[in-house]
Amino acid sequence: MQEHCAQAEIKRFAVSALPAVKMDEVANHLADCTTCHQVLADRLKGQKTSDGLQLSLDPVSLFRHDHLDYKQLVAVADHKLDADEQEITNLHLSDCARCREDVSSLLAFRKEIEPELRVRYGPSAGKPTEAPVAPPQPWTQWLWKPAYVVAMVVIAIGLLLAVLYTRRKTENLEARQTPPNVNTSATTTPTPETHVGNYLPSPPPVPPKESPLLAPSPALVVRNRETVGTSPNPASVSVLNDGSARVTIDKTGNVTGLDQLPPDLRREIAEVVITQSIPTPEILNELAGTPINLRGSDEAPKFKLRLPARTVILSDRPSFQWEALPAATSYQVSVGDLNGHEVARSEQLSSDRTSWTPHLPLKRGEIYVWEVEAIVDGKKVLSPGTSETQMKFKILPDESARKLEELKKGNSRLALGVFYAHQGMLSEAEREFGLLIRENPRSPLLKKLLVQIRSR
Amino acid sequence: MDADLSPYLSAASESETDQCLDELILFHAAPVVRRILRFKLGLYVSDQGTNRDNPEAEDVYQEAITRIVKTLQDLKASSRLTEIENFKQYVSSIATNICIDVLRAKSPVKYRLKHNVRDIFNRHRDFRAWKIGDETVGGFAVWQGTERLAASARQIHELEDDLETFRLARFRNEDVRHLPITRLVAEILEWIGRPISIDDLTIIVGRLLQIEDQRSEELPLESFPEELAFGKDELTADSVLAAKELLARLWQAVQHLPPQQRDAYCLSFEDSDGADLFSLLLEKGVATIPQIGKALGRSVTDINRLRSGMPLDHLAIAAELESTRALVAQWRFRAIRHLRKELGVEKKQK
Repeated sequence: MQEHCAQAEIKRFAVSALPAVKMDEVANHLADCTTCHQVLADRLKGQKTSDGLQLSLDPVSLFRHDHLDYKQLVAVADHKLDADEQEITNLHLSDCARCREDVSSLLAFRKEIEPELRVRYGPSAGKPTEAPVAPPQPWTQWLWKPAYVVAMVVIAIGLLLAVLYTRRKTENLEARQTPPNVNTSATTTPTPETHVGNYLPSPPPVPPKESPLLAPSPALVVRNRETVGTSPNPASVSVLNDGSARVTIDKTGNVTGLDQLPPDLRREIAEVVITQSIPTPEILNELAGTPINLRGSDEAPKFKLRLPARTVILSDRPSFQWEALPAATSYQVSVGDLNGHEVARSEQLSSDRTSWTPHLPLKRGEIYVWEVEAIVDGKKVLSPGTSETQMKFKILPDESARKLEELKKGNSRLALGVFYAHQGMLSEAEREFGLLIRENPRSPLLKKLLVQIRSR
Repeated sequence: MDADLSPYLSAASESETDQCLDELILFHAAPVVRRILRFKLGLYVSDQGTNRDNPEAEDVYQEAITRIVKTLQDLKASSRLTEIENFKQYVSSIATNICIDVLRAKSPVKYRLKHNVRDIFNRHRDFRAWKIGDETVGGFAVWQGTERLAASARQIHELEDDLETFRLARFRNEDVRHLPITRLVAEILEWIGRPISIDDLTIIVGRLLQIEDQRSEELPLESFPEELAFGKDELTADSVLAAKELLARLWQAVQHLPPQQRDAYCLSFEDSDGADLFSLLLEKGVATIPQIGKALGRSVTDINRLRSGMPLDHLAIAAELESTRALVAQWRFRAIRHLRKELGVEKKQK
């Protein structure tokens, strides 16, 4: 550029408001042209308040806007700043009250939250799965020291190997002819993660494929059914009218509307709804009993025992009921435990009686067997008969009875129904689901569940 | 009335008015706004009002410019004689008011809450923070690596809109404000069923804890001076000659710094008027653009590009030097320490 720059160009050059190519041209021209350079100098001077110069080499002033971000705050809290960083940070903190407060706030938060770091959380248990470990317990503190944890891992490996060795030895003794088939894949070496899991409540069994390495929650059953890699759809699976409440269960197992329930029951309900199935409780198989053939002739007249019949009952003084046997002159009820000991026996009841209630309560949580002896023509007729299975029942354990009392206060038929079904109290479960269907007549889910209950 | 406004107010045609308005903003308003934002809030924007690393700085700048343009348009439309006697001072007051608004909108309590929430994800073994795209999300540790999608905006809004249902479902009969944040975070994650951005999570936790925005009367205005003085360790030169000599000494010393320290110092430099180093070197006749380029090992094009954004904040310098903000701060700090010795500031103090 040989000619002088236009005034407008220099004016725009001063504020970098020219196209890049033009900026370069003007810059090169200004370097060689004192006249144009003076125009620029005057222009730049016009933006200033004085002819002089005032600049600062005060680091406090120069770093006043260098506020601490989260990483820097953490570095301060963790004492991970090097000498220069520490000096810069201190300079800024000496001038910035807000950042000082940020540091104090983070340190205070860390102190406050320290005990909570030991509380475990998992995807299906927002509430702590383990009570906070109280610091005063000395034995809990060494659990967290790495050396002890390593030692425990070593001990755990040793125990595992010892168990395997013993089992193998036993197998060898039992089957000397056959070499033991050692499945090396089954002997997993405990990792720190799996070892840490030993401090936690045992989670229910989940399919190995879906089980996380570290199971932080005792109730991962529903959550872990989600296929890994697919996004869960939190949309509701079911919305049910339940008394005055409206209960919503979504695919991730969240239950709303039953907030008063304990988390484990909420999870059970979610599982029932999501899987659309009520599992048969093991107790019902136990109560089903097996046929017996040791009690005399089967040619005698028969009569049926009605209640309690192969179920779990709430009352510890059940009302035993049976069908009348024609020509019977009296009845006598006897109740025994599974060891064959008689625990209760009625007096001789008149022929018009078809029920009896023991005077004393039976022990809760126990399984009992009962029978009725009728007298017909002077002969004893037993029910169940010789080819029939024993009539068993179980009395709801204390803890479950207390839970049930609490549940009844909540007026949730869904909760009661699921509870009864899980406890093996099928008639009660049937009643609750029947009533629930009245409130939700278009619910195929409830109908399906009711069919399952009735089929047992 | 300020003479700078005269051409604009007396412009007859629409195109002339637009050109005058453009020049008023470009030459008079923008430099003042930039300087105020730097001094008051530490927000840096280029001559074009851009900062690729800090959208907030661009937003605040644009808001200030928009407000100034609106004022000027109203002024033109009213046909009244303006009471603005000093346009730059007027621009300065608008920019300052916007800075106060920005500060008022910021809640230190919520800012700290975000730190606390982040800290949980960094320290509690059952929680993890990780990146999904550009966003930092937090979730249960067992979720990491499972390719779960982050919570959608709809899910977040649904939860925010019906926070009471969530509270009743998860914290009935409990005072949420007395619960540990870990529990709140776990319940929110369980409710949503997906990882969630730390920002959204902080907002929800803040609402559960009923953390209020800081009220305007609580703004520490005393820490917001009208004019920010440089404080101690100033180097001053009152005359043109003395100023040139001082700047020449400084420039000489700067060129002897290690390259990274030199660049960090040059790009962040500003004098008490807010002038950047390259403009100052040009104004005082200490160095031309090609000379500056040669000293810094850069082309004329590069120097022009850099000057349009200068002074730069640490983040922008880090991007320019392909480094980190922390390292830039260290280089700049070491440069200042070195220059203090070179220019006799330490001796002066003793």
